[in-house]
Amino acid sequence: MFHLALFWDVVELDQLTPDGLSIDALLPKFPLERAMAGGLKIEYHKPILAGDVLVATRTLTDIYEKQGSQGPLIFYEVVMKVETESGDPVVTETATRILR
Amino acid sequence: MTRIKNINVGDALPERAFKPDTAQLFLYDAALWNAHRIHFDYPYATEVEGYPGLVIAGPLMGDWLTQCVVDWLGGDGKLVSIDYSNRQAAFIGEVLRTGGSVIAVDPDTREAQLELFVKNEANDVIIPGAAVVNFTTD
Repeated sequence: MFHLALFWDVVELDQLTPDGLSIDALLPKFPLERAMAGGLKIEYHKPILAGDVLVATRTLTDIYEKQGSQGPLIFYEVVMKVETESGDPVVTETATRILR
Repeated sequence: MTRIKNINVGDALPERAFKPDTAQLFLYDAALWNAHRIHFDYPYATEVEGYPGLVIAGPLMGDWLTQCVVDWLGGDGKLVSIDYSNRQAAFIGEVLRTGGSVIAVDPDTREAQLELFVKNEANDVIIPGAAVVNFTTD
């Protein structure tokens, strides 16, 4: 899963929220703020070769609510498409995160 | 003979036990520039967020599932896709186990579908997962 670190922004310390997470400009302000991992789906389309230049595009694709056993939960989903410069798909990652 | 001929529905992937400690969790999160305090700041994790201890990073356990599949494949195939859901949190001190089984094999496409799990000591599946692998002829 090293592709995740490849495209994750390394931000200045003042760009971290009080709980230590990086501020993600893709997200709206949510009424719930305690974040949890929700899961990942990773599709590997082609091997990454030395010299490849890869381009990642992240899209906020879904936001929905659920009632958890300890209160309301917000789920959101971000799809990250990693492609070669010529647009061939390399990795598609769908990340689900949960706020409580 | 290629390996897919030896793969049958119901075959189990080797199980592996993990007992992550704070050093492993620190290194994993540092590599991802993940400073989420629930993973290293014990007073924050317990007093502010109300967890019983330091929370093991969800993607770390997901990566164990990838490792479980890739180790089982050896050089006989490649991982096409994997997905998992973090249903229940786990905490430093717990012993967790990964494993899985083959749920479908298609000799024509050379693909197999796998069901995966991370279980805790109570034998609850805290992370169910699934993967598709493709056996190569080489």
